[in-house]
Amino acid sequence: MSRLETISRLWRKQSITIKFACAFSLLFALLVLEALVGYGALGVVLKAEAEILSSVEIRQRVFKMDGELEKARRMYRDFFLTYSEIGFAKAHSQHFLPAKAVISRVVALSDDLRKIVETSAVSVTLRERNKDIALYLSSAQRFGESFEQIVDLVTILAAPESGLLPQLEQLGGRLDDMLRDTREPYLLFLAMDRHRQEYLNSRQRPFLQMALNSGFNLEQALGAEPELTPARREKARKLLRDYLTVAGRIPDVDVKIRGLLNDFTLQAQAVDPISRDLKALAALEVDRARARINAVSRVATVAIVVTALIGLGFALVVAALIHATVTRKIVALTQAAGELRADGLEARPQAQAGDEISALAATFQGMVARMQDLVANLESKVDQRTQELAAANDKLEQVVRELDEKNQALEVTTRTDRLTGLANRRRLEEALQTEVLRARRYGKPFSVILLDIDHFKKINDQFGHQAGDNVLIAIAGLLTRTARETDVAGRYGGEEFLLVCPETVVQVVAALAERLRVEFTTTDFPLVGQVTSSFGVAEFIQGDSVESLVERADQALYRAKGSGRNCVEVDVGTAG
Amino acid sequence: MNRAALLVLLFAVLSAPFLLSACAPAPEPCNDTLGCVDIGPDEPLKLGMIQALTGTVAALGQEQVRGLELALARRNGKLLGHTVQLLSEDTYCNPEGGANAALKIVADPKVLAIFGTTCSGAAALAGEVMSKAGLSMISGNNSAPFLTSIGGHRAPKWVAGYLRTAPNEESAGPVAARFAYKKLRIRRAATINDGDIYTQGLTNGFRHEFERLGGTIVLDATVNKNDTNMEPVLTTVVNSKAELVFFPLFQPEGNHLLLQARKMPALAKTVLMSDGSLIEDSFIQAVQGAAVGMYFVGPTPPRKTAALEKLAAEYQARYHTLPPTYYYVNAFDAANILFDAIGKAAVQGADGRLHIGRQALRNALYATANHAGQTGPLTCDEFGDCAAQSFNVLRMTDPAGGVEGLKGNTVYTYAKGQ
Repeated sequence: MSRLETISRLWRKQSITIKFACAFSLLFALLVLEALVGYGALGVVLKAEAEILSSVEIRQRVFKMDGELEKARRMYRDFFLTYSEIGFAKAHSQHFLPAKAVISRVVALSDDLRKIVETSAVSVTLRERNKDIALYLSSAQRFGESFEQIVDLVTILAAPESGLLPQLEQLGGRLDDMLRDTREPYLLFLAMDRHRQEYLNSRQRPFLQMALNSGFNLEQALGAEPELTPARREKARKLLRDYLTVAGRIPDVDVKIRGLLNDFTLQAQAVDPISRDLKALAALEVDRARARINAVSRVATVAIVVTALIGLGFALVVAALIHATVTRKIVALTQAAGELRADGLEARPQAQAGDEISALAATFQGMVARMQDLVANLESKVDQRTQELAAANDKLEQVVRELDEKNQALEVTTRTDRLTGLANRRRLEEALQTEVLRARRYGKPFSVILLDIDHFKKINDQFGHQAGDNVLIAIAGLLTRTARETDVAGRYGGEEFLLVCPETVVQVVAALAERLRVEFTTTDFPLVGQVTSSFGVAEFIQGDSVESLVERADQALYRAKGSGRNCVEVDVGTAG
Repeated sequence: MNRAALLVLLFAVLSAPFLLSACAPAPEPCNDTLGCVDIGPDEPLKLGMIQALTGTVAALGQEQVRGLELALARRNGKLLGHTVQLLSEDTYCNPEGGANAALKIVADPKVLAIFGTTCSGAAALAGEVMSKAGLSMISGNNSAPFLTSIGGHRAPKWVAGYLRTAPNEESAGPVAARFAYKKLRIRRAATINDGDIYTQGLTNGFRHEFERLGGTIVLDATVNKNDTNMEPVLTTVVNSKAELVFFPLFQPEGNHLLLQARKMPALAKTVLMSDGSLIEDSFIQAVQGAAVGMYFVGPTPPRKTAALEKLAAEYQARYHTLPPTYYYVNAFDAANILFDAIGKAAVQGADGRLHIGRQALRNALYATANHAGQTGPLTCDEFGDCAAQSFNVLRMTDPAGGVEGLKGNTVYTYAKGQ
């Protein structure tokens, strides 16, 4: 099994929580990495910027420091060039004092510079040059001190009147005056003075030594000079001793001055390369810092782009993994649920062991299996129940039919006279009530015929009740055949029959009654023979009720009975 | 792995740099009054070396350098496990050169001490600069009394932290004077210096002792360095009727003076006496026979011992030449005293760094006692003098014998306290 497969299997086994935790942790790590790269690059750039600023500041200060030192040197030079012309006091105030102030500024500047280099963000190389700045500082201080010393020495040497050289000049002048009229001494004096002048021109000590030697000879000559008085000789000797003393001091001062001048030269040799190197190094620092910014920017850009691309690629991989291991399962589960909803009980989502969705799919599978079982049982039960219901329905329909038949029979029974098959009294009363209501509401006319078989008792008595019943049945037949379709004929009671004639006036009804009477009279009833009937006719009038109408028809019948039977009597109220 | 474990892992990764950075040790404090020099485990131990490396006295400067190198070589070039870095500067054998050389050295705060100078004149200002910066300096060649003590008191140019293994020539001038007065019976003497404190110290010592003995200093002249025409000053000598000229000059002024004096008949009987600065083969070779009859006062050479012969052999093996003088031995002793003092003053920190207090180093240097030097036992006094004063007066009889021949012709010896 390859390592990739092992990893893949291991990955599939992990729960969704772990998968999401791993994926988002790695994404977060990439984001952190990118942020760190950016932060690091920004830090380097800021540091480089600080280095540039520091280097520029250092360079500016070196320029200023160097310029100030050069200024001090110019003042120092001007002091020596001008003091003989403008005088010591003026040269002191114009050049020496300002030079001291400038030197103080140089010292302060170099001290500041040293602190800046120590504390600022500059390279190790530049920081290591701090010892050179310290040397610059101490050299500047030494320059100031040496300048003061040399001015003091020059003052000793050349200050007006009090300086050695003016003194020597004065003493020489006095000796010249004093010895001018002598021969040998004056020649020696001239030789001495020439050597003095040679010394002053060359500053070579042997010339001064020669002057001293001439002075020694002059002193000897003064003793032998006859032109000089003792007092003048002594005075000349004193002048000569003073001259030689002053002259003897001059080379020592010159040596010291020369030493200090040499000091300046050495200082310049030490300091000048420092400022030049510092300027170059500061410029190099700026260039290096700029180069570093560019390099870091390029590297940071590449790093950020690479990490972004890696992050993007990784996000896609993570998305694919999530899709493969989570989303696809959810989609499959959703489809299975949809199929299930659409009666697709065959839906079976894959349930691989491992994550929660697989567990859910397994649960879903169990649920579907359970539903399939349930559905299968339900159909068989429904079929059974349907069959049972169908059987019950058939039975019910049978019962209903039987009931309808019975109801119909009952209806016929309840509304029909059992013997004659005509409407019974109840049916007649309902018909009368209906017609009365209609007549009242619409003003339609209707009439009734009440007939009674004449001497029916005799028929029963004579021929038996069966014969009587047969008469009744026959008359019912006659009524049914004679009455109109809209008329209702019924047995009102015993041997009385009532015929309800809707929308018919009494005259028509009276004629109908007459035709019935005749029909009866002409009918040969079996066994009995001729049977007659009396008829009473009445028409509805407003204000009538069923009872009052029937009563008026009954009155008319009574009158027919009274009139000899077998006749038709019309209700008086109706007729009138 | 649960969520909590993931969070712990993430926190650990993110916090690791901060935890690691918290482990850096803090620097140890320095309680030395003059400050400390801290040397990292891989850093060199820096020493300044200011000598006369160019000019006519470069040979003397070279001997000083070689003495130091030999001492260092015996320690395999290391002190306390650190390589030694020598920062070398030329003093040009003059005060301002010494001052500027010292300024360059002390500008580096890592420099622990200075080995130098060759010339006392250079040491005068270099010592001021060095002392002001809190350093220590030791020389194997300076002998001017002005630098340490005169008559048991601090000399004018004394500074704290300056020591030397060359004997104080406070006695050299007087020894020459005593020899001149007592042995040569000279009563009129002239002195010629070059304005340097070394030569002035010698001529002053000569004058004081000579006058104290009853003699007369008829001339106390000065020549400038680089003067070539000595005839005027020699004429002055003639005029002064001096019987002896004491001229403790360096080359080439000493050479010029000798050679020109020999050409002046008036000085044919005048005794010429110089000092140790001309006890050199180069001088003898330059003046040859002119030096015959001349006297030199100089430090008593070290006794020939097996240890010294071994050192000389090392010298020869290293530089492929015989040592021209014994001054490299004084330099060797000076270097060893310095190295030993550094070892005593150094404190190895818990952080692996070496901490050396500047005052502690000075104290260790001044505490040097009975150091087994090649020139003899060395004990440094409060003024910085470590060598006993012992001087010989030599007379040149055969220039062909060179310095060794000259040293073999000792006519007078003085040892202080004996």
